Amino acid sequence: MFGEKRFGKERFRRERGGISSHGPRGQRQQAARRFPIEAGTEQFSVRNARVVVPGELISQSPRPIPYAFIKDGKTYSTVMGLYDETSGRLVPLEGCYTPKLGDIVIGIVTEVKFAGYTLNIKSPYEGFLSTKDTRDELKLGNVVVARVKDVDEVKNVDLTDASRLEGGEILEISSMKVPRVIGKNSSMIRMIQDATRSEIIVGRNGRVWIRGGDSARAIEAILKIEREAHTPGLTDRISMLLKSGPTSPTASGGA
Amino acid sequence: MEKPKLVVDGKRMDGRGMEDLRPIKIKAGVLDKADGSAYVEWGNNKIMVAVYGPRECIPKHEANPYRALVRCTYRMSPFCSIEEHGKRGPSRRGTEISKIISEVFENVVFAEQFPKTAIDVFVEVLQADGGTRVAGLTAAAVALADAGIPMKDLVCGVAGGKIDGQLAIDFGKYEDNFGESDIPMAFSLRTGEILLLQMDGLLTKEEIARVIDMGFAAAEKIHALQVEALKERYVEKKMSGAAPEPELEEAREPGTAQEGKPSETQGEG
Repeated sequence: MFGEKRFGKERFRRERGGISSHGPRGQRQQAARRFPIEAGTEQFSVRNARVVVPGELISQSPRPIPYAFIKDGKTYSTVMGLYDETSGRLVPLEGCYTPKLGDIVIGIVTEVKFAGYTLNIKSPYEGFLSTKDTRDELKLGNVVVARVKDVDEVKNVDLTDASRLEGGEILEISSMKVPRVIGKNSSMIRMIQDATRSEIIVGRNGRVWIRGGDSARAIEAILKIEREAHTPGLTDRISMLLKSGPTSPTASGGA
Repeated sequence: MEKPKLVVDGKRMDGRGMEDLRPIKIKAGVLDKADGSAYVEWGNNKIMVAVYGPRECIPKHEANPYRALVRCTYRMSPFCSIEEHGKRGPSRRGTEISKIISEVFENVVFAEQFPKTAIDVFVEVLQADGGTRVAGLTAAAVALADAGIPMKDLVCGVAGGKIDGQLAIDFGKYEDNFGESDIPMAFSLRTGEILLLQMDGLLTKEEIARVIDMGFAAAEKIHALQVEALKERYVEKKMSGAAPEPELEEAREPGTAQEGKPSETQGEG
């Protein structure tokens, strides 16, 4: 399957109790701590959400919501986004990607240095991949999937666990629409993978790598999700799209 | 050209009352390659605004390690007006307006969230008929919101002043050129702050206060149009997708709460 190599390595490390001091497991835990999703809290509902614009009042009480700010005991939105009253969550509709610890991103090598590689990660900030953190020898223009290992206060981004992606196609979408492309518990992306038999890796930075299978249909589905990310009932429409017409039987490199 | 009569029987040259705005149309997201964009038709003004960024700051020595640079470029097209603005290239006036618009947005953009970067705003005047700086600023606010740049408020601007001895709002070209005084203003309505205040000509203290009040009243209307332009892009589409949704769908950060499970990008291996 597609990320076999990388995840194989990760699994290997985990089983051996982690080779480096900052193994993937520790990182993942840290990432989970940074964005806690408490069990039992209401989930974001696109159906009940309303569109808000910068400076729009979203609550009469001070609420620490991402992408909002508090002034004089009231909460206002800073971005154009969808605000769901019941779950108290604000999801931006537009915006650039800012790297966060633990994110999986797809980068393109823009510079080869002695100590490592500079990667374009479709963000205002470049990613740096140390030669220590990758087994592959990379060249200019290589496409790489990697995990964000560290982001400091001036946004120097360190990447790790990189592996080169060979062949396939790259699709660029808005990074704000990525959660919708992945879906709840990866349901959406798994549905596309099952229907198209393509290998798909979705980077949090809005790059999607697709290889093999019915890639044209996979691209069509992902672009549709990007266009309609803010509308309810998307899962049904995508499954309809995937079912309509004959699915290509070719499974070159598919599951 | 001779000075025309700006006010006849309490009506202005184009038939407006003293506190009436020209017809304003705003459209967000008009350019494909820009991160955010807006197009405004404000009377006979036609202005296109493109926003790029936050992106790497070039030249690098200008980058600020604490915050993003907000750089605005106001430019009048060589064909935008019948006279005086027929030249290409930077001008004294263009440089000034670029600076004042940049400073307005420095005050509302959460620049500290994007250290070392630059946010570029390009205001391109395609057709000019007075009040282009405030019209450009109004469109730029919409374009910045469209680019997803976090801001404290959606600012808007309007010009006011005195024509033929009477206070009025939103000047056209002739009112601007032949009026006694002209005050471009920009407001943050959420806080009631004035972010831009310039003045040509002379007014008394009381007159200035009155013009600013008129500006605030007009800004309410302009702000409503800005909000409408932004929401239009999404609300309309939201209506079209009317298929019933069986469960609450979620858009949460990937790579969280997936402890112990294979990563979200991995299928059944």
